[in-house]
Amino acid sequence: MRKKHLLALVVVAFAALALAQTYPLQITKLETKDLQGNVKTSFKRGEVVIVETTISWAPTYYYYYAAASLSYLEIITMWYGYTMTGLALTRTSIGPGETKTFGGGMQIRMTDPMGTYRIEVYVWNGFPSEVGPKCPKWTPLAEKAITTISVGG
Amino acid sequence: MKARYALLGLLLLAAAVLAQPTITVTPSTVSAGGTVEIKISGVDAEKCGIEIVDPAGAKAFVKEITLSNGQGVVTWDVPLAARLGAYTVYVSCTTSGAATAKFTVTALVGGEAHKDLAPLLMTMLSALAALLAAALIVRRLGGKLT
Repeated sequence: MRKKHLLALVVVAFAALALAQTYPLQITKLETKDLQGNVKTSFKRGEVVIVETTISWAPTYYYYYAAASLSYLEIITMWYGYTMTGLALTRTSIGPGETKTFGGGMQIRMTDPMGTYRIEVYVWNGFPSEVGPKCPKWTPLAEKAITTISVGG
Repeated sequence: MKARYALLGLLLLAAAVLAQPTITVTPSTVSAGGTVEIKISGVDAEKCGIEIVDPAGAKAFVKEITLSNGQGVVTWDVPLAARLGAYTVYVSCTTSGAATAKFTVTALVGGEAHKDLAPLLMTMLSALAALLAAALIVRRLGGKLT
């Protein structure tokens, strides 16, 4: 194989990796519950919304041999329109083949508006303010997950 | 041939070092309760993480978006109870790198000040009506007496 063919192969491989945007982790479950642990999506003002997520790592051979565990930052946000009404986060690590569950509670204040709230979950290697443009570069580690709840009076 | 590869490598390295998303925050000064718009220009359909940190260092806003044709917009409704002062916007994207910007949140002031004249007018109208009624009564009673 000539050098230019090898170079072309390397370039194509990098381009494929960049375009594929595959993630090592998956958010396999996203549920909203009440304080008693019952799954529900309709809440009243004053109530606490428990958001429970499950993250799993089904490693490909690349990640399997690259690291024995993977550190990540999981962020749960709650939104009403363009206002972020709640934030919960955890920093932990996960091993190949493992699943991890994390739950965060967010209270809906009596003064909060009624309507549809959106819950978005992100899994990153760190906050943009912590990880720079280079080593370590900011990287999402899972496809974000979204669900909605309704809030009444 | 080696020189060409070296040049290509240097060009790729330079591109990686210089890569940076462009962010525009509008307006640069906003009152609590107002709205801030952050426009991001990056590369194709890359993912970007956006974080807004308040003057005390607390996370005020955290969001992940996917750019469309290298463009993305996020909007933040600044809460009325937001801390006043300088906020920092951190944007990190998977391909184009990272950038920061600042904006300022000021107190909600102003509004149109005017005196509510309705109570005064209502009092004067009531007094006028009472005077007219009294004058009418006096006139009728006066006519009967004479």
